Amino acid sequence: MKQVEHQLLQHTDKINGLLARYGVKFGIYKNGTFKEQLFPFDSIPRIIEHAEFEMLEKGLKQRVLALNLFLKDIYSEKKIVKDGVVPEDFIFASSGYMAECEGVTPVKDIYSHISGIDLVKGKDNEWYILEDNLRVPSGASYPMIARDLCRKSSPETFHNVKLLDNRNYADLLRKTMDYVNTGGHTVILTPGRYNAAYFEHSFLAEKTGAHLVTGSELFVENDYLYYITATGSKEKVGAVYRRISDEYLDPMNFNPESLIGIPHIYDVFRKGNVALLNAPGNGVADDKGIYYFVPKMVKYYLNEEPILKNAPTYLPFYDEDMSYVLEHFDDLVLKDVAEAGGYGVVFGNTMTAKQKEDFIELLKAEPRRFIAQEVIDFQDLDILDEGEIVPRKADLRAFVLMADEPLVWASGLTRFSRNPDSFIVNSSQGGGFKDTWVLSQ
Amino acid sequence: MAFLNYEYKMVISYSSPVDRCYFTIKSIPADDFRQRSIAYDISMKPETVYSESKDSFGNIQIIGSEKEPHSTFEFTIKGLVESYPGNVTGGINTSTIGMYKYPHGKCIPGEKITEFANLIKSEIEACSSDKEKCVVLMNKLYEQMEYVPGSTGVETTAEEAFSGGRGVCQDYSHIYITLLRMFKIPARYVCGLIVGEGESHAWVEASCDNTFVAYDPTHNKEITDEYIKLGVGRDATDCAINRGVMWGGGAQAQKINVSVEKYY
Repeated sequence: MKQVEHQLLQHTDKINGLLARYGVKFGIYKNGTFKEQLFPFDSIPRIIEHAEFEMLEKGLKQRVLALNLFLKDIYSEKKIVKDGVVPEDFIFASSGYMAECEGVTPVKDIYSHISGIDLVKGKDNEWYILEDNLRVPSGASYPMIARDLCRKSSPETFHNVKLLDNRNYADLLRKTMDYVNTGGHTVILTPGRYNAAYFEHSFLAEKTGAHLVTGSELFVENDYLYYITATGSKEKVGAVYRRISDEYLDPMNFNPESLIGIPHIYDVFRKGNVALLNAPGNGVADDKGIYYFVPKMVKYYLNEEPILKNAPTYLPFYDEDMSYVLEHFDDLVLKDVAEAGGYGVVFGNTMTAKQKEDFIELLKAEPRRFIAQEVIDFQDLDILDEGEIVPRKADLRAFVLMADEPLVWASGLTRFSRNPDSFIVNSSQGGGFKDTWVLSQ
Repeated sequence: MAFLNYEYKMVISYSSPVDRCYFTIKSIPADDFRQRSIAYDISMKPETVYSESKDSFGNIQIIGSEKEPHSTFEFTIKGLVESYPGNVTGGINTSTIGMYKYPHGKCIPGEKITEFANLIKSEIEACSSDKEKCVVLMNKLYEQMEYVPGSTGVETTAEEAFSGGRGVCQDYSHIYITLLRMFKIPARYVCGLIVGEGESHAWVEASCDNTFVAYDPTHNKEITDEYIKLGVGRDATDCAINRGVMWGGGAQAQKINVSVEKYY
């Protein structure tokens, strides 16, 4: 396998050159200005054995089913709270909970149509879930296009290895959008070209045959959503894969300051006259605090044992966990539940005495704001760094799409840290990506 | 019990025509534990197509848009409500009461409110019931504030109003809600009308022993059958009577006339 893995090495520069030419970029804001950066591609793929993928697939389906049932429960009866499984603080005090979504039922009860589940493989050969992304997870376009370019650059590599084709993501996505479409066009709603994932929005629109639109091309009339075509005609919309966050989606229901949203779009959704992918309000289920409870949700809603494990997590909210955290502070990683993108993450053992003291004070004052986790010693993956093969930390974002049943894409986004001392792989923090190969036998 | 005949009229004038606008108006009284809406009639100028639905807080909302240019927008609702005495309580939904327990929006305690809460803490905690806590808290707040029309705006937060020591019904209610929640009493904002002539009013419903009790902190009293509830929410934003987005329009002036008469 090593041989095959490394066959693409000689094509690295060529592929990165093509990626740059195709505009495979992501935008970041640095010191207040918008900059587009290339997302460095490493040509050595992550390889997942077939049997291993089957296990991951089962576990991911189970997890996403449970998360969807949780969301349905939270925005209606809240049985899981009434039964004492999840304390209400983790719902109502969570920034992801949206009271504006109470009692609203999405088309076919699906909340998270596209879920990005982040995992790592430990040195113990076990996979651990790092976090669930149920709002607007991005990243599928990168391995899609990278695979395509690798095949073009080195077709012989792909003759010698039996792997599952990952170029079907667009078909899966289209199926997912069509499944909930209420009758009308399918659109992908982008905030515009100054968004971090604009490349992806346009790429997915092209590959799925959906219209790429901004808020100003959509409007609501008589409880239905319409799209104004390039020729000025008015067409009904049945499904919106929106890549705008909840708060900016509709100035009449959420943040009134939003200029990129569509007035009353949520009221159309409330009436069941359009599908929004993903449904607003999902943040209550992918909050770092609620993460702790996901294995409990699997048992509660599905009456099954969770197949995939969480990283061992402690909630300082519980006194018992607080004492554990204080005792083992140096062995743990602490995360602010309100932050994302690798921000608000600190390792106990890297703090000075003073920092530690301040942090513990904050932790005691606002215990619900933090979670603490054991640092997982995850397996390194080889990358090519200035002509040398070196080991680096990497994670995997798996994509689970929910139509009539959950589907796991036989690929995923493998991100790695370019810094040898870092565990943080987020693209906004300078990481790169790899293709993810799932073997077909 | 009383019958209340009400009229709410809003006229918005623009310095230059509005090309297009979207509006959500929450001004139809919903039936609940202390009122029953018997009849109502809505008129709008320009005449426009609208629909009625319920929001996630249980408020009735009128949703519509006007896509023809217009320089004024007029909305009138007239109706009759059967209103029950203030001591009629109820209305708790155990699935959603949690949303009224935590700081939110304009009801987030800052330094001044926290300081005040600490100052009165022992006295509040000495109360024998939640109802008593509500009343003592309302009295304490009333002593701190001065009612001054125009001293605050619609965007003023509880903390800002409390720091200035002045405000109107919206501010009294926001501060009262913030304090109640700090003392573990779930509380929600009520937007509505009261007998007389003038503008809309605001008060507070607090959850005591699993039932809502309504207090009017601006008048330092429990409410009576002279109150019509139009909307509820975590703060004023959730149940604002009028929320709109428009293109064009320039400067705008809003005029509101409310009249409520009581019949036995």
